[in-house]
Amino acid sequence: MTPTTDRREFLRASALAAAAATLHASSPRALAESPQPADSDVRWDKAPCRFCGTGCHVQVGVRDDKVVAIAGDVDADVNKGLLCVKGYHVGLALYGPDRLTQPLLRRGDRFEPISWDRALDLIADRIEANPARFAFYGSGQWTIPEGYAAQKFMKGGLGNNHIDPNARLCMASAVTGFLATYGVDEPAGCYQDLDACDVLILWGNNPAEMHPVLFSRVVDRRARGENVLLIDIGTRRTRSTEFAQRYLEFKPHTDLAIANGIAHLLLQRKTYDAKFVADHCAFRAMSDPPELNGRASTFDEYVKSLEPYTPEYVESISGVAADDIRFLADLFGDAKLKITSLWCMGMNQHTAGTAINSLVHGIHLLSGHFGKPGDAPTSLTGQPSACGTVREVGTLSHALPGGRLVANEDHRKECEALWNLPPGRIHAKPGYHTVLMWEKFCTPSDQGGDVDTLWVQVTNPGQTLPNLHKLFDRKAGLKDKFLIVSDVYPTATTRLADLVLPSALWVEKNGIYGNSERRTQQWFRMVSPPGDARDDCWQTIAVARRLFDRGMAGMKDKDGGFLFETKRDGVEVPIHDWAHYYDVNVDERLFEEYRAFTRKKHKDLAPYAEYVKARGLRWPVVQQADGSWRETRYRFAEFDDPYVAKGKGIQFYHSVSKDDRAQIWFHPYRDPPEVPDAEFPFWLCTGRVLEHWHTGTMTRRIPQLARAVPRAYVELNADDARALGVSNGEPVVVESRRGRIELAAWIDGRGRPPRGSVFVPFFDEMKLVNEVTLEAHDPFSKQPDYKKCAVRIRKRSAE
Amino acid sequence: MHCSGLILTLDRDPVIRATTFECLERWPGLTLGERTEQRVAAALEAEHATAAIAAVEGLRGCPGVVHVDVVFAEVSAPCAAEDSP
Amino acid sequence: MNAQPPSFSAHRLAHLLCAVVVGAAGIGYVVGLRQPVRIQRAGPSESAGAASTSDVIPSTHYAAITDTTAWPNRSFATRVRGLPAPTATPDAPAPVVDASARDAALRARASRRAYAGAPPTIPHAVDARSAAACMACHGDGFVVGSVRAPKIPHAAFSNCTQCHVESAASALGGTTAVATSFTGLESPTSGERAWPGAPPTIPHSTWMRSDCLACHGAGGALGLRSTHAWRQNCLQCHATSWQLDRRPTAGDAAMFWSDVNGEQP
Repeated sequence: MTPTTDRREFLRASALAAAAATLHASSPRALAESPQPADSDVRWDKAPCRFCGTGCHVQVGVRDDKVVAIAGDVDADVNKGLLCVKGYHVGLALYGPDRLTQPLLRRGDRFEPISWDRALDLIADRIEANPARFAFYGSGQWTIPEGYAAQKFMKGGLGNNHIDPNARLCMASAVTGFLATYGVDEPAGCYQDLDACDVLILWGNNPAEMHPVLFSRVVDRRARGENVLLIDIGTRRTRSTEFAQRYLEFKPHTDLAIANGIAHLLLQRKTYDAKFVADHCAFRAMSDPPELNGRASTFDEYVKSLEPYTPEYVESISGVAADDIRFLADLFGDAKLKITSLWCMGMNQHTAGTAINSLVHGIHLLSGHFGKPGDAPTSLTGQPSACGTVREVGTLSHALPGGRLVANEDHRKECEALWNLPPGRIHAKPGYHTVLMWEKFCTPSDQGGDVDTLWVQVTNPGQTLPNLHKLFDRKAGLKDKFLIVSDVYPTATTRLADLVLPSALWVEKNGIYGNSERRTQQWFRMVSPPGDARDDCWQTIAVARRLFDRGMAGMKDKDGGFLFETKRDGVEVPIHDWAHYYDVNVDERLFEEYRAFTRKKHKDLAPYAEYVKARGLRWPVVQQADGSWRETRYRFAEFDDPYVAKGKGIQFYHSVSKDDRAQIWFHPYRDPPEVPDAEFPFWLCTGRVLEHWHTGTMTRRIPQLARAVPRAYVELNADDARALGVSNGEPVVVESRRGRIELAAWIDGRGRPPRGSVFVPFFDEMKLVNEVTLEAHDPFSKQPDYKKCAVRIRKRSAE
Repeated sequence: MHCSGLILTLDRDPVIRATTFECLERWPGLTLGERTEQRVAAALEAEHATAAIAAVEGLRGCPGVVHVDVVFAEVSAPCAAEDSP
Repeated sequence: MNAQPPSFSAHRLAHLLCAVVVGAAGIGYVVGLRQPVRIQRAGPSESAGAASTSDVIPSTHYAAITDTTAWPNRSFATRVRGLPAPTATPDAPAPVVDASARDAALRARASRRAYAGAPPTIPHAVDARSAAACMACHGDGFVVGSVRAPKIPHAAFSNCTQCHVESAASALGGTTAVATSFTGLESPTSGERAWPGAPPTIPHSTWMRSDCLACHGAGGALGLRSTHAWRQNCLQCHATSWQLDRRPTAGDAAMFWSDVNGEQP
């Protein structure tokens, strides 16, 4: 072999080897072994997040009938692709290993599985025996069709108004605040205010943890070089405080004095918006006896009432320095600034909740910081459909759909007409509100406890009711009381249930929610519920049908048809039979029926099909001349709200005083019902944490969230801890006049309460802080105050 | 002499591919190596680099050949064609 | 038979150069698959070193400071040249394409996420009082020995703990075991290549992962690092995915179209 041929052979062999190596490195077989983009077999669809009232949209990734991934929805106006840690893990909420999968009936200390058929019969038996002693306890997590069906079943079917939701515990005072001020519920502004405001004031609010996506919407503006002045008016340092330029710490309950102090200075310095007040406002004060809408007042009386609230006087009550009160008044007195106020449970879970809500609206009205993008008093909600299902569908003991009232004869007649019911079917007397409902249920029948069967859907009162010992635990000894609980997991409530019904959760069913900014959001069922779990809405309709089949008159409309009769092409679809429930889109049917109720208060909803296309639409959604549907971002403002008359600028068209004016209220500061004393020297505040949602039944089953905050704790001030001789992590006893719990102390933890106050989150079902809280509530909203009661703290080892 | 290593990507359609190998096997200086369903490794010997490039172009014209990728090129030998145009 | 006589134009020459470059790249790729390639670090220039004969660092006259560039000067170069050569530490930013290292990196990555695309949990205690605390390490990211603080791959958000939470609550006495039957979407292992040697497409959504170099640059986990991180415009060659980025699908487009035409879909 010559050197040349040798070299040629070698080169050819090299060339072939190189080519072959490349061939194998990337052959189709090799490609198949390293999978293609992993989600090529995943189907994605939109849904609003299952958790809070922000109403973020998520994209849900489904494979083989299971949720496998979640992504922020980039097309969603609410969150623009961002989520919080709960939202990112919302899909895991479906997959706790202890999902309830079959109806369970109590037998002594144990539950035995029964059929749905038998379960429905048992409920029908209880209701049939005494329809007036039946009560329905619902939720701001009910979808709109679920709440609407329950509402129709109770008020339109049984003629029984004992239906109330857990939202009574979380936003009832916001509702009464809106009603007393504007004559109609829900915020006028929207989340765009957060993009436009120069000043954001947090009134006892911690959105960094409770509404993180909205909070980021504001603080991320700074990263883009914008100036936003963030003021935290609070009773303890929180994560939100860390982002605030000013932290004004006040003594619990004294926010009333602060609001009055600001109004006092606006008037005294004449920096209020005289034109806005003259054109758009009226004055209101409390009547005797006290009523929600009080009595008409005058500007002069208002000025006089506020006279005592000098900055120094306010400082003496609230502990906020007089100069800081002046600073707040300076801001509100500056017409050039755009000021948004945010609040949530701090102002709502308040024995003067209606008052403080009205006062903060009042400051915005008085100063004219209203009705322009960035100028808004904005109340946030904690549940995904507290607005949609509770406030709009009116699943409250005193309300009817579309902002109507049980006590109003015209409203009842309108509902009877829309539901095709015989006149007089709807009872004129409001039913029991939450605290009263549970008190009656936990009181022996022979002592006036006239609720004996209670059906709970989509909520966990065994953990969230205040003073649990009185309002829940006492049920245990009452043999003739029957508690029905529809839920997805065993909870603190199912512990005392007589009948447990397994429910479908979130994307296991069709649904519609309504968020904090009047946005109605629709989603489709994407996966099957586990085992025999079924939609809550179906459960209600199936019970109604059982009663109808037994001949109960209330389940018939005035033509004798079933209340929930559903036809397709003229033929009835038996939606009460689970096998046929999804033969039609029941959500769509109920929603279209409900839409007719929404026009009265100008909360117009678009047809269901519009919501299928959109990432939610904010009401009023009004049809345009070209047939399209337009949402409304700013209510009462002519530039955006189609219901404001031309040339009016601002028009409060549901005014209490019937003159297109909003009401500026005066409410005096008064001491709260329980204050710390020598025996119980600490303030107790309860609340939430970022990682857990409300009672944690879902989030505590999500490893990433449960590992982040595995158990409840008590936040102690470092000086208090030193005085008590308590070190970090040491078990202490938190005790009130009503109950006690044992918790680990966390000093300099996530939040830092001032001396003399402690904080305990309520998510932990093993540490029920509501055994300690007080059931005292606001006189108008009936919402309890979970934010303050008096406790004492002891080292456990000192016992 | 110039030597290069090639990957030939073939069409999936067997009808179009019917005469591919007939064309390739007759190609001067082309040695076929390992093959997978859609790809064939090959060594190409040509007089000089320019001829090799022309051959690559030509191979693309073979029925059923979708791509020709050059994955190896002999760079040590001087290119005769370039030296004497 | 190739009947066409070869023509010797500049055009052909360009083809030749291309062929050589492609060929070399192909070989480099093949070799790269088999053994780690270490990039030779450029040392100080010979001329700078050769000119220096003294250990004394000549100082710049005060009056001349404004005219003097502050870049590494001759003395700096001298000193650097005297340092021992960088040794191969396990976390030296050497680009490695190694299947086992990649698998290990992906496994470590997956252990902190509920599913592909979930925000990672934090494997250490956090103060959580301010974003500055997070940004101190994760703003630019760093690698020291075996400790790696990955750079944040998305645009700065101010509230880090909104999405990232501790994987074990250190302040609350550690973790609890939580059972779940959830099975998350798996991480993709690699992108698609249209043909051998083609740049792979990006196998994940780029939403919240817009800074490729956070994971694929020198500070990324071994096994995820790019062989060519210095080439900064990643999206020039590596395609994002319309589907993975959840862009509007054909269905949405149809709706848009019908909206425009005033029709109901």
